[in-house]
Order: sequence, then structure tokens, then C-alpha cells
Amino acid sequence: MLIVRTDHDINTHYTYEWCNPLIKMAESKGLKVAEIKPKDVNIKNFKAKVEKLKPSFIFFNGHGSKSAFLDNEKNEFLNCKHANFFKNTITFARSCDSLKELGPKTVEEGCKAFIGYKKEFWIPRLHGMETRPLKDPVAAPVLSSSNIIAEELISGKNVKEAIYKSLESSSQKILDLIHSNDPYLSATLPALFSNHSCLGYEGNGSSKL
Amino acid sequence: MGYNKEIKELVKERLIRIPSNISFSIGSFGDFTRDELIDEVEKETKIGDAIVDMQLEFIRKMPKIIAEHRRN
Repeated sequence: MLIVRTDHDINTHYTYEWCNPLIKMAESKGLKVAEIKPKDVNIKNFKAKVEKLKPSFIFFNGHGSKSAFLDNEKNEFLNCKHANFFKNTITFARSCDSLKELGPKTVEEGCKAFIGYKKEFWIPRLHGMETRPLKDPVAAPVLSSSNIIAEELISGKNVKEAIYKSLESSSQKILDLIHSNDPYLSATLPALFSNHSCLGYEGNGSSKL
Repeated sequence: MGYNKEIKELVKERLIRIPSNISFSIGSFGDFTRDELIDEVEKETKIGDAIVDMQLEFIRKMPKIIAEHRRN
């Protein structure tokens, strides 16, 4: 498993921190986890890691566009030209828009399945919790629903099952939030719904790690 | 895109119920407080239109989510 994550603003700090429980889980299941740290995110390091480790699972966390991933300086470092680097992997991109062009292109080039979002990835947050993203009650339902995808893949489920489980979890949370009187959780609802609506995959849904 | 006044008011009304000490990170658009989101809707910016789209989609899709959940 190769984790690529940036950490240069509040949004990416939240996704960065929410990878930590997944790393622990993957290691506890005996999966070898390699990482490209935020400041080392560039195409040279990405290519080197992929060629050396041949990861079965690539998990990208950071800003993206419909055709590219952005580095820690918010510059494009990987785009459709590099789609062949994802050959034989299952890739999950927790970034905006990447399912529009980059995902399909990687599948054309041999990626087994590319999971991602077709629109912006929303994260709601409570002020003052920026240093403790894992404890932020407003962000937690959103990021835990997204984490389920990686958890399920690590646990041996296929892509379709992993997505189904994540959607099922977010549906349940959406219903709970609709009936909740907690004004803070009312902020979670639009973000949860938006991410729920644009999650999907390209490629073979039966693929497993 | 330019939504009609009633739709904009409906979305603003939904946003105003969110506590003011909450922000939203919306991908590469950046970080927005509740009041900034309301302002974006009012000014009909790209992000404002995205918020209106999302709220309308929410209203449209909600019955489907509830029905699917009941089936399961």
C-alpha cells in the first residue's frame, strides 16, 4: 500500500491526520505501508516508489483537479500523461474531481479500479479543532465515511463492496443528522451529502487487494 | 448560472441555521465560514452556484436515500 499525502492547509491537514488510523489498521493486518511524505510529493518520488514497490493499493490525499493531483505547493505534479503509473493497482483518490478524467485515463492504461470523487470534496470543521482533526465532531462523520473505503479494501472486500459500505454508512449518518437537533451537526449534513453524491469508481468493481 | 430569488433565499435560510463557528473546506476553492458561503450565494459566484446546486440536489435525492435505506 502506498500512501501519498499533502499537508499544507486546513483541508489537507484534516485528510493527512485521518490517514493515520488507516496506516495503523493496514499495518495491523500485515499490509506493508509505504508513504510519500508531504514535502516529498513529486513525480520523481512517485515514479520511484511505484516502480520499486509495485503497490497493489495507492491512496492519494490532497488537492486535485479533474485531470491531475497537486503537490504540497499546490502545483500539479501528476496528470493524465502519468496514468500508466497506476497499472495493476487499485487507487483511491481523496481529492476533488479526479474521477472525471484522471480516473478513466488510469483505467484505460491498466489500473484495475480508480475510486474517487466527481466534484469537490467537502470537509466541515469546528473552529478551534484545527490541531485535533480526529477529534472534530463536525468533520468526523464525513471523514470516517470516506475512510471506510480504504478500511474495507484493506479488510479484503472488493471495490464495489467498499463503496457500498461507505455509501451505506453516509446514508445512515445523513438520516441521523436530518432528525438531529444539534445545530453543529446540521453543518455536517451538506458536506456528507455532497461527498456521498459524487463518490464513484472506474474500472473493475470486483477488484480486491 | 443565476438562480431565482426564492431559491437563493431558501439556500441562504438553510445556511444561516449553521452555527457561525463552523467553516467548510471545499476542495481547491478554499475555506469558507458560514457567512462567506451566504455571501457567495448572494453574489452568484462559482462556489455560490455550487452550493445552490448541492442544496437542490439534496432536496431532490433525499426521498431516494430514505427509500434505499428502508429497503436495506
